[in-house]
Amino acid sequence: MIIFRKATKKEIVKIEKALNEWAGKNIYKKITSGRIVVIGEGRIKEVFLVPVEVCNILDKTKKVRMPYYLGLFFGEINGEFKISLEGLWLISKYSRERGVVVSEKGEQLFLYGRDILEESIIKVGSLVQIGSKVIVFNKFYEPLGLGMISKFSDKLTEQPKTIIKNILDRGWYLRKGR
Amino acid sequence: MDVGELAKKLAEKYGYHVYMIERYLELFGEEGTIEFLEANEKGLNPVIRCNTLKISVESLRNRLVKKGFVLRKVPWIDYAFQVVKSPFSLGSTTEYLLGYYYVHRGMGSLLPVHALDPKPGEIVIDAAAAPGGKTSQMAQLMKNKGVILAVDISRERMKSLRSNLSRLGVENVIAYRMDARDLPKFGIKADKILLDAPCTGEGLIPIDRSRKKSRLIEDIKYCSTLQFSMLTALLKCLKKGGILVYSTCSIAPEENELVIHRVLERFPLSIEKMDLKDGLPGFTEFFGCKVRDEIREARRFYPHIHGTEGFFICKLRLREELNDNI
Repeated sequence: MIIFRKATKKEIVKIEKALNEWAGKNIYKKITSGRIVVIGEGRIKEVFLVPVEVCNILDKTKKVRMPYYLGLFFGEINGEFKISLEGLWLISKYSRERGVVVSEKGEQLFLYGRDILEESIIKVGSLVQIGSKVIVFNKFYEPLGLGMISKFSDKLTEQPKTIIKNILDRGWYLRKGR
Repeated sequence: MDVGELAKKLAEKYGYHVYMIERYLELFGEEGTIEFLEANEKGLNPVIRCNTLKISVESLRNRLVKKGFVLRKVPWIDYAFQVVKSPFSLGSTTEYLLGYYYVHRGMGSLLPVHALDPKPGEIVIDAAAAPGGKTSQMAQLMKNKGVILAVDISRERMKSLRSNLSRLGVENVIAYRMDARDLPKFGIKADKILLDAPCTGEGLIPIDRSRKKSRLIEDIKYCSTLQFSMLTALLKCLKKGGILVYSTCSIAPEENELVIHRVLERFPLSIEKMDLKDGLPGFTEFFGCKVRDEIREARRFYPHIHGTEGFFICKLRLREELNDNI
């Protein structure tokens, strides 16, 4: 059974630290305004953002029965905090400079779970560093998922090329989320 | 040709149980039955509901039209479109994956929430919630404010509910996997409740042909009993003056008008008129049975008349709060 409870200080610090890296200081405050951070503790530790009114209902009902799910799934804590697809959606407008914009072809491939090759990268944010996680945006700055940007040496040309390894993409809803 | 022979002939031609055709002939007459059976063969266009929590109706329409979709506005609901032509699968576009729309199998399933009319800040119960189509429609009308208690008993379908609500950016839901009849144990009084009740699903034949043969007459009786017990339990979770919308995708009067008649006989309820431009009145007489006249205010929808799934909706108001002993 999953037990739902409010996040501890230690867990909040972990989440805050991860969010600061994505979107700068104060992002935690912005994101949690009007919401309470709730942990669903079962096999794994899931993080939910829960509106205060919903949390009041949780407080009233959890003695009778624990819910299956509530609020917005924001990520999970497994050592470090890993943000979810909808978490990315929430922070994306504050973290464009930590993202890359990809072409329509790149968008399609990425949503099929594939990596993004240099040809499909249209723009790289000013805070992006090789070897770091990046938010993958389409041309409308809609977040498609999360990738890891790196360089590799092209076998044919022996030139260094950029690649974005797929970590998480919204095609998950089609492949696994039904 | 006598009715028995005609029923056998039509059942054979269209592939139904004979008992179903006999019942249709009694409810709709010969001409109406044939029109109904023919409409069931044609199927229905799927409907997409724009998720206004994430995108405007106009922006979504423009993006999909640009991609080659042909859309037609749903007459009664300004945030939904029938899909006349789709160049890709509706569940694989970027717009779907971004949570900009939900796919409904027909227009009828949009009506119960439209009739319920949930408002921001209210406490609402969705008593048979999975896979989340109606729950997410409620959330968008409530602008993610207030609370929806979404309840369903199916483990598999709850997974779909979670996935759909996440994709659509719904936040104001607390979901329970449980029998909705246990909800009174929470002691919560809701402003509004939707019971889109488990049913035989005869109205879904245009979408799912297997239903022509998959249900027996005993299933109607079983569902009717279940529906009554769910409705009875849920009324205990409603505030004084609160609204409960009861709907099914069945056209069997035993699952609809008869269930409503039984609760009207037992509880302090009145039937509310609904802001629905279409739909036929509920039956007040069927199969030799007479029910209360006000059930006329319920609405019936049919594929051959309204271009929807077969659907029944009734809006009830609770005049006095019930205690748990009733």
